[in-house]
Amino acid sequence: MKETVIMECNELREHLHAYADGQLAPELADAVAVALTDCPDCQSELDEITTLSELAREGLLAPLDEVDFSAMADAVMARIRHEAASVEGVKVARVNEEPKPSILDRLGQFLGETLRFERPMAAFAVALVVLLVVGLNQSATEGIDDGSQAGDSTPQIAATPGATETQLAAKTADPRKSSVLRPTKHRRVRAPELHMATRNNVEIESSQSPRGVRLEFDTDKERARPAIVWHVEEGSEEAAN
Amino acid sequence: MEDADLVEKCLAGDESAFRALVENYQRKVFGIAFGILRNREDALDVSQDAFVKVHRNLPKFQGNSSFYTWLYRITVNLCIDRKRRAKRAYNVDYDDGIAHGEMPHQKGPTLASVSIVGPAKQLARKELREKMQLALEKLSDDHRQILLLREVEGMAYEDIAQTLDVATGTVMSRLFHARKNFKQAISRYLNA
Repeated sequence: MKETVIMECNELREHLHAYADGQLAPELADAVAVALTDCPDCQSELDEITTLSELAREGLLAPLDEVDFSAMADAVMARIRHEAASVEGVKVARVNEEPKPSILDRLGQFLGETLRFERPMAAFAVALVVLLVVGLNQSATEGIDDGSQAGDSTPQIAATPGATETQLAAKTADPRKSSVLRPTKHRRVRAPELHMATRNNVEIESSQSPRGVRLEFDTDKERARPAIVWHVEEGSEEAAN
Repeated sequence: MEDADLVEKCLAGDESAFRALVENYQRKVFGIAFGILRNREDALDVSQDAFVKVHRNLPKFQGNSSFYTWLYRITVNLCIDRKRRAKRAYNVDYDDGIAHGEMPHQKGPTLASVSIVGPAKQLARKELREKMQLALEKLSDDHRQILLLREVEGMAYEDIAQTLDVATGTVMSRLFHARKNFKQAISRYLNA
């Protein structure tokens, strides 16, 4: 025989909504049904819940009943087809587009137009850049020329073979007479004719030539090392980071 | 045919399968949208937007949740976006009764005590529906949504919880407060 669960009103009320919605487990639903027979107030509350559900359903369905949904599917499918056609159209347009010229072609065109002065501002800018590069190059060359360039007011030292040690020392006292030589495969320095290059106080090259000094470095080995401060002073050489 | 089968056919390029999904769910989607937007034209627009968006994202649909749950969330998000854009003031948020000034231990008046059942039966159906609309306007979006899922769709608590991404206990609590607020709102209109 099935055992009946005795339920107090407070507990019964907690289950009323779930009972009305049919969401209680069968055993619990049976217990609620039994308890309801003994509590008219609880039964009244259950009726109220049921009525409210019906009214809410009526109210919520009302706007749905006033709408004609027959055209919605057509409208949705039309929008989907239109969207698909738009996407396809974009793809076709992209395929039909002429390929863009390469960056080299565009650069060539730009330079051509510039040189023909079809782009006056660009021509002016290019000229400015060229002058700047030439100026910087000249300045760098002066740095390693050891002050031998024209217009240098410093007395030319070791300009001729047989320059004295005193003269060399005097020259190197001028800070402008030293240069930082970055490791490169070949480094040519114009005049003076008597030079000595040292690295870490060890002579690595000395030569006399009317064309200048040629210092040779092993690029692969030198690249990772610090730059070398090169002096005309005999034996004076520092490593700098 | 099951939703999963229709989705599979859609992905295979069967246009009629997607049309079938639209026809199956158009009333529900409109009901969701109308429940939030409370405007017929806006709800119709959003319903179409929702189906178009679903179609666009169908390849991403993992099938972890039911198709309806996915569709429901897309619809709700579109409604929220539209409301945000329109910046309409919805001052009807009585979430779970707390914002409504209810005390948890308070009991609302019973339908019998405020004489609702009698007047409700006496009203013509059209008039009754109008009163219900006014009462529903007073509810928050959450409360209208849960009433829609329960009273109209007849969904089980667990399914509602999955659709709304909340706990089952939250569903029960929210449903309780939704009905309570609806009762209070409807009492005013039926006794006016």
